[in-house]
Amino acid sequence: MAGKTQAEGKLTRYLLGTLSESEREGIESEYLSDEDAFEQILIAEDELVDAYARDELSAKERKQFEEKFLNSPSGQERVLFARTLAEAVSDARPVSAPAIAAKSRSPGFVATLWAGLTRWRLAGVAVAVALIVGFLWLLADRASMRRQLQALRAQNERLSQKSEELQRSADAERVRNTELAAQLQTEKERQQAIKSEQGQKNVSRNEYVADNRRVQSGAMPGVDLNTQEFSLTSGSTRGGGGHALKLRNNAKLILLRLNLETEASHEGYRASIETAEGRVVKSIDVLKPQSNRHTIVLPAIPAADLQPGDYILSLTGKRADGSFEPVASYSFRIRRR
Amino acid sequence: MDSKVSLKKEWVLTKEAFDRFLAMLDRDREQAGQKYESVRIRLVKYFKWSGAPEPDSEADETINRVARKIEEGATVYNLPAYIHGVAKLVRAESLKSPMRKQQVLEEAYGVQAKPIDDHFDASERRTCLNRCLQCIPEENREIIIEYYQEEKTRKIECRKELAARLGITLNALRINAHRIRMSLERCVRECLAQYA
Repeated sequence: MAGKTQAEGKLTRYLLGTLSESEREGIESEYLSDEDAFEQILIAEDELVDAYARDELSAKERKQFEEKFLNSPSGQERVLFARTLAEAVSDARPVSAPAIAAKSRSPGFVATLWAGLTRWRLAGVAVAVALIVGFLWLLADRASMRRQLQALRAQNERLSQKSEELQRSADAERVRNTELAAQLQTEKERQQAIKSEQGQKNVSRNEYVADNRRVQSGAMPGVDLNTQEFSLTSGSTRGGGGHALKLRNNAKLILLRLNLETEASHEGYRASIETAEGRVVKSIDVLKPQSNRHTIVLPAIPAADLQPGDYILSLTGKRADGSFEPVASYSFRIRRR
Repeated sequence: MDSKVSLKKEWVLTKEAFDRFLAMLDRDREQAGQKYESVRIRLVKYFKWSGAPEPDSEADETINRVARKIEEGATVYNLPAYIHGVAKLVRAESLKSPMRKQQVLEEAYGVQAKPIDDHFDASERRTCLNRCLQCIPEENREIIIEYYQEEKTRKIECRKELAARLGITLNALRINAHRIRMSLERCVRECLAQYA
């Protein structure tokens, strides 16, 4: 415990229990009544514990210290702390002892602390490097995620297009189904009407044939007695002597067979019958002809729908995009006999 | 004598007695509480440095006796001196206790002091100390490291230089280092309690 002042030495001796009774009581009286004096003796205790931990006490002092301090857990704990602190401080010290001496002769405060805190600085650098590496990794990861996102977007775009195509296809199919259903319905109605007529009338086959032969404009034989079938050629206008269709009084249905100048090439057709005044009497959708591609047979039209007079039948063809374009025009006049 | 001691120990500190004792320390209740803590800490150290077997119990016994005397109407002009006087009596009694007698005998016959029993691994202590050093302000960390860096004679010179650089007296530096060290010791104790 070299290098102590006289007062410090006295306090150390008090702590080791080697003072006389009067000296001891003087110190005790002082620190029991004065905070500063108490703090001074606590500092002396720190120094004593440190000196023991660093093995700086004489053999006698060491024995006295052990008797006084090591008998209690708190005393032992203080020694262990002092040892740990001495190790930590020693590790924080610069490596070369002469270098320390040289440094301490003309030291700068900051420089001295800098040397003493090498470990802390190294730890700081390690943390900084870890942060930079982590940041770079995040950047790379982000770039990779961006590429994946772009690929997903492109894939999504392709799927959308495909979906739209399928939707269009489904719409076209639906329209076609609707047309088929309408045509089927018309055919059913026609068959129903025929059956009904057969039940009421009993006209002989011969009479039908004879009657049919009298029809002008190339009227064709029908499939039953109350149906009259006519074949129309395009281009006939009202002024130019359109087809004159003479209907029998008992004719209930009219079948119109439309001759085409060219082969039927559209997806479907629509026939619109208008009066001379331009009033639409009938609009009929028909399918593409299956066998004879130069003729379109319209579903049967109730004779009651076509009163005597002049009519124009406009045939339009359905394009692939669903729109219609003009194909042919037929004019005819309905007469009753 | 024995019966007298026994009677004293049977007396229990009442709230009224304790309040009177606090009022003697300071009129302000909060200040009185702080002074009470300070007195108790000093008494514990007093008994510890005196080699008493149970410093905490003896410090409490001293305060109880002083409080009792005040409650009984004793006139106290100098409270610290009065406390010191009572403490000396308690110490004298404790040094006669069987536990203390055993200690004295062991010392007389040269029985070795208890070896240091460390319940923790050295690395655990070191880890705790490193953590605690990180918890204190950087300025304090630098002071404590430099303050304890050198050994023996070099230590005094370095501390004087450090005090000069900090622009404070050597005594102020010692007090400052002591307070930092106290906070570190407390921190390490709490840290080690987590390992226990």
